[in-house]
Amino acid sequence: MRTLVPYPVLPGTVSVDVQEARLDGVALPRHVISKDNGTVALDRTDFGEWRQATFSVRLDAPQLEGDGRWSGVRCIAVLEERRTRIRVATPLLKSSPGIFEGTVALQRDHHVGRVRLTSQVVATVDDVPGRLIASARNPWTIDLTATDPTRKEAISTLWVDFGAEENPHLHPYQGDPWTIETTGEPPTVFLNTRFEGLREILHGGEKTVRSTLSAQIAVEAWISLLNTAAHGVAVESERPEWPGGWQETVLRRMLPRIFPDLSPDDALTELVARTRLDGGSGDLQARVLQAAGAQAKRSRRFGDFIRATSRKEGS
Amino acid sequence: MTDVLPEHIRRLPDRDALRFLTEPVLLGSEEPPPSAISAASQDAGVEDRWLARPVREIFDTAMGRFADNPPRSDAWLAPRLHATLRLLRSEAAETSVWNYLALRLAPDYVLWRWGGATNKKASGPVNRNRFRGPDHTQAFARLWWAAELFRDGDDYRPVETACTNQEFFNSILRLEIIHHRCTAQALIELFSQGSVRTTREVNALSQAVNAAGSTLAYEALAPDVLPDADAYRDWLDETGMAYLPYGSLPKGPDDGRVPRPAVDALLPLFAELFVDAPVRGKAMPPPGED
Repeated sequence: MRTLVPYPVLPGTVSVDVQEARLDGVALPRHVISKDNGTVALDRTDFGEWRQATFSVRLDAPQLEGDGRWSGVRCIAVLEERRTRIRVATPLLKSSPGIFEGTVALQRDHHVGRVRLTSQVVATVDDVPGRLIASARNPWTIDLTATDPTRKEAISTLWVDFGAEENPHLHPYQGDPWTIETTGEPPTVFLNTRFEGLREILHGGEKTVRSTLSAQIAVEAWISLLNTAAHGVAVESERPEWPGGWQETVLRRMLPRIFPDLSPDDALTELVARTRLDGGSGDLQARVLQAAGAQAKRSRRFGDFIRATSRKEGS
Repeated sequence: MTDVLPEHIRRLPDRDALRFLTEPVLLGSEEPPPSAISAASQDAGVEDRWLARPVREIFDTAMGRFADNPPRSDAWLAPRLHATLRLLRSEAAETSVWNYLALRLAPDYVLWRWGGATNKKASGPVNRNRFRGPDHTQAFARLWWAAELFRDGDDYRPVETACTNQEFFNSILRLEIIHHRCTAQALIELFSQGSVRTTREVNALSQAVNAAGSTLAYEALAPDVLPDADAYRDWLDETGMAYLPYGSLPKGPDDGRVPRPAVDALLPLFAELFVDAPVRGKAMPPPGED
């Protein structure tokens, strides 16, 4: 969505692309880059330790050509990760009309998870230098923990024995089939190997039972995630701030369903007001339940995901 | 602390930290159980930089030196914690290290700095976030990150300056604009020059600069250079050889200073933004007067 600003901005959209990725100078195969998802998957254990990744980045802004309103035009690529508080800008230089290119470097020591790569066009407008006149419509994610750039799951799923000695945090839930932990990064759904029959059902039991059960787990997971995210929103000068990380992903995904008539920012404000202020939450829980149900149905891959994860695990 | 000091600093996962943060612990009437915490913790590393004793010592020293005014210890502690507990950013981003410090290494410090004795409020429980919380709030993470984000290469003086005003912790440390080093240095410089002084003024400045940052690309106006990651690694490896001065500032990692012209480019802009910024409690000029 475009923010309204009191000066002219570039019409239309500009887009950013990662053309090539290298680790310590060695080019990586094409399949670590997914153009469709705008993701580069960098968890490559076969590569061993690496220190620096570099990306060939290209920004397409054809509408800059022949538009005389702009002077001092500059393009930058911005690499940022909130958790490590990194924000690095790299200049992109004009290589041909409407195309700007450059090489962005990512230091391994400076990152832990999902790094955002975006691009901006800056110009002097009405004698004010450094005005932001466009941001790429398609920010990329450099994911240091993903091996497959086409996968989008923000939740991890683990089969463990809730009663085992090494899992004291799960002891209170020993009798339950599953539980959800939202304090971790990423949040985790724990499935109890001790719970008889659960594994059999999720592994390949009767199809209706399997999909009903995995949908139910998914609904509960989404509700927990949303509630945790809502309570983690900081309120600065009476405006709630987007929390970043998976919390923001969850909010941005669910808020349009919870408050379909509100803009994302207003929906966030409404959510925070209803969860924190006196006067009750009204129909909030009904809306959340409905959104979680829709979300669970839409991502039916959740059930497949649970089975895929359990196949990988060797115990 | 009555129990034996662990040899190395370790990692305590969030879920376990929450389990130990009981009401009596937050009130200071009960100590977090050291052996249960050790059992729940994982090793972080065995290099010198993970040694527990030097870190414990600076907190003991701070509690002695600033016994009558704990908030004043921040400016002394931030650079010294950063120079003693030498971490990569990727390591500091894991909350488990900070949980361990708060619950095992120095829970007494958390109570001393954030407990009822220093809070003007009645002696209620310490806010949970001071033990386990966001990096701008947790008792140790806030000091470490303030030092990391406010230092100018190996020079910790800007850190010391910034940490004398609590607003640098309360409002500025949470803003993403300071991830651009030149912006951080320009804010600190306006404060050290005396152009902005009070907590309210610092708050107003940071809000104005943050708001303007949505339409102005500070990175493009004031290009920074990439810090030298190898030099930083070298500094980590030298932990065992370093001497930590108490009376003067330690030396930080020599990974490159912030380019001076870049800071100079931002100073007049920020000064201008501040002039127009509403400061709480400051009378606004009557309409018509400009």
